[in-house]
Order: sequence, then C-alpha cells, then structure tokens
Amino acid sequence: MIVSYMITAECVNCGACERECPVQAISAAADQYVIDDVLCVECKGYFAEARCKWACPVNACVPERESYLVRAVSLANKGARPVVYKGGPKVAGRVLQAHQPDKVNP
Amino acid sequence: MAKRVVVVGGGWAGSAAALCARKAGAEDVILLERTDSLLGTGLVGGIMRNNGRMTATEEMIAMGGGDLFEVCDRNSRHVNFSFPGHKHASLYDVAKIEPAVKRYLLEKGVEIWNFSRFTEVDVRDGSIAAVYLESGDRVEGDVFVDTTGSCGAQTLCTDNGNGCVMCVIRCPTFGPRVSLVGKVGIKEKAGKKPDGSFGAMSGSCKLSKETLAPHIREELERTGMVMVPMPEHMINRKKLGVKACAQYALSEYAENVILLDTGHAKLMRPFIPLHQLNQLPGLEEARYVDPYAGTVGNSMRFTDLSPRDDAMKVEGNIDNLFCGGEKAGLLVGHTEAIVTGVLGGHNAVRALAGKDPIILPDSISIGDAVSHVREEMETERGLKTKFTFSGSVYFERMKEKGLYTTDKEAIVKRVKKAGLEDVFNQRVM
Repeated sequence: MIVSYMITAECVNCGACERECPVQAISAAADQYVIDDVLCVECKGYFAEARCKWACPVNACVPERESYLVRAVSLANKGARPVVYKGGPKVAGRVLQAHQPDKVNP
Repeated sequence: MAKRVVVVGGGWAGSAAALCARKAGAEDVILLERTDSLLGTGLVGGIMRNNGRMTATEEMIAMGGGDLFEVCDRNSRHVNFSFPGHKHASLYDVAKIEPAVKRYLLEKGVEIWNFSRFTEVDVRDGSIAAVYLESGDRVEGDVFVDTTGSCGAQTLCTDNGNGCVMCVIRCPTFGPRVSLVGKVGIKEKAGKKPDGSFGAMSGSCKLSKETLAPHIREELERTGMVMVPMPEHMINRKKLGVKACAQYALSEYAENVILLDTGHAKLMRPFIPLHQLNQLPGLEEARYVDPYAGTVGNSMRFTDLSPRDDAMKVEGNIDNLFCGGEKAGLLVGHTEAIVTGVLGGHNAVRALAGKDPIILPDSISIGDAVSHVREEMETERGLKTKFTFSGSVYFERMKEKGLYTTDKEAIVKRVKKAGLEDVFNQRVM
C-alpha cells in the first residue's frame, strides 16, 4: 500500500517538486526537500501521475516503500511452531530431545 | 486430569517458579518461553553471591528453594572474589548456564516450550482459563505465574532509551514481550529514572574476549577482574544515574572500565562508544557481543510492574495469577529474580491445593526485601529507586537491621527459628 510519496537522498535541492506540488506537501529540510506524508494525496484528483515524480530531474521522488512502513514481523508471526522439551529423571546424561507438535492442545 | 501450572516467561524467575511448582507437587507444569533459550537477561548476567546476595542465597538454600543457585555454583568460573564495592562474588559462565538450567528443569519434570510467545488471554469468571500463543495455540491452565519481566518491546527502548541496541532479548526476531498481568487489565506501575522519565537502562555489556589484548585476557581469566583506568577527559560521572543497577553507581565505575570474566568479558557500564573504548590501552580492538550496538545504549527495563502482595499473588480482579522476577517490583538482579520466582511458583501451587500461602517474615532478608520493596513502590521516591541485596539502599538496610551475614550456620539457624527449614522442598499437593 502506498500512503504517500517520499524523496530519496538523491535529491539535488532544486526545488522543482515544491513548486509543482498541488497540496503544498513539500518543503525544504536540512539537506534535501521532504514530503509531509499527512498532506500528500499522491496527486489523486489533481494529476494522473504524481506531480513531484513528473517534475524531479533526478528521479528522487518515489512512492514511499512499504518496507519503510511495515513493522518488523517476528519469527513467530511467520508461523513458527512451539518447540517442546519434555524430560523426567531419564534426561541425565542424554542429548535433550525436542519435538514440534502440529497441534499442541490436548 | 492433573491440575496444571502455566508459567509465562522463562527467565531466571520463570525457571525458578516452574521448578518450585514441581517441587511443591504440581504434576503438570508448563514453562512458556518466547525465544529459543531460557534465562532471558540471565544470558548476559553472571554475578552471584556478592554482598547481601550471599545471605539471600544461603537463606533460600536453607529453605529448600536454592536448586538454581547450586546450578550456578556448579557452573561458576570464579568464586569468592572481590571487585570494587563487592565482596565474595561468584561468576557463572554465561555460555554454560542455559543448557545446565534447561537440563535441571527437565530432570525435575518441568515441560519447557520454546518459541512460545504469549499474546492473548482467556478470562472466565475472574479466573484465567487459558493463554494463547502467537502461533494460535491455546494453553489451558489452573493457575498462572507471570514472569514475563520488564524488558522490551523495542518501542520501550526507542521511546525511553537510546533506541533498539540489538540485545539478547531479541524482540525483532521472536516478537516483543507481552505482559500477562497487563493483558488481563490490571494496571501496572513503571519505574522511573532520577529525572522522572520511565524505565531504567541495563547496566552492563559484554565484549568478545578474543578482541582484548592478550595480557588483559590473561589477567581476566586468572583473577576474574580487570580494571582499566579511563583518561580524565573521558570520565562521565553523570551516566551513573541512568543505570538500573544502583549497586554499581560508584565512582570506581566512572573512572575505570571494569571487566569481569563471565565467559565473555562483562563490561560494567550501560554503554560506551566503541571509538572511546578503543582508546584505552589493551582495548584497542575490543568489540561488543551484547548488546551489538553497545556503542549507543543498552536495553531498557522496569516498566510493567505488577501490584502484588507479599505472597507474590497479583492483586486485582483475577484469582489465579501470581508473579515473580522484575514483575514483582524494582528488585534488580538474577538472585532477586530467583527468590521471588521461587515464592511465586510455590504459592501458586499452594493456591491450587487450597492452602494458605507462605509469606516470609522480615527476620529473613528475602521476606524483608519483598515487603519493603512493595511498600516503597507506593511512593514516587521508591519508583525512582532500585533495590538489590548486593548494594545501594537495600544492602544498607540489610546491614542496619542485622540481616547481612555470610555465616551459613547463623543463616540456617535464622531459617529454622522462623520454622521455614526446607519448606520449598515440601509437597503441598
């Protein structure tokens, strides 16, 4: 899902995007121009293509990538099963045996 | 069907709680652990029996709940040695301790579930009926012990610390800690730093021993400790205030880099930029092994503290929930986690058996600490204080009240006098 456009570090500070943006979402920051992702509407209702992308001479205006937004997905979320160790007195001196049950509940 | 005890969180406290639930006679004990290993922050620990911890350890052994202390003793690299502000310490080997504890728990019949992160709870009529794991599995139980600790998630470290520093808790991989007490809707407290912001930063890092100069490594392995003086321009005394471990907030720790031999080289400060560390003679090539980004910070802890009574029963609208470890209050350290875990696990089984809980009297330092910390946590000042048997305000209190001693016979006598000898070895059901 694209929620806004963003400007990468390739930005050369020309200001073309700021002048073109229909919703004034772009402003100058310390080293480059930046897009306010709350204001950006991806030019929906204004232009067929994002205007900053169209205007940028170095192709630095890109859709904000999903990988920047999605929180880290944990290993367990990827479907890892519990690993169960059972013991009893016979454990002594042996390599510990674990098993991964398909379903853990009785 | 046998009644089941479910312990949520497999750090020192959870391991102790599960073990003592078995010892108290529970037939079915499941220990749920989020990651691939037991012990949590215990994997970076190592320091046992220093100062008042010696008293607490021997008390717990006399009361019959000291099994895990004896496992630590058997896996110690150095015993009965001193470092600044601390006497008669022993250091367990962080590389060997986890398999040793896992094996011991399995021998005693605890069932250990790794990769089993608790995420949801099923409450019926004021009791917890079951917990759900992230995998979707439902684990039913009759009594529950929350030993989920107070570290993580990453947001805790980004909001109140210096960001995720990739510590042994490994939230991004295994998913963040979820508090069982919090999930059932009981309001928890958070410890505060002296400036009033939340949490406290863990107080030590680990360096790879292989990256230290040979003479430092040799001295470390021979004596257990090395002190490398810091050049004057690098001394930052202010940083001592942010540490969770108040017992190490001494000027020696600001003016020196102190290394202890726990298998790796335990670096006794919350963090130090690597380029500064590398300016010290002998540490020119030092590298962090935990946290990986020890250059900028350390893990944050001491949020989500449970309201609880002195039997470790969680106070609130749930009748079958106990706690231990850092959940039980601002008690810092592995020894502290083990003793509160023992109490929580044992009393959980007593509750199942319909028996009155054990409340340790204040003639025993553990009993005094449990009730003193609970009272102190009611106050703003208390929430900014950290308590440990090994130093700072609580060790002072132990000395004032005559509780601190290293005389084993006196400790056994003290425990006998209170009628608590071997009590945690007794089956109650």
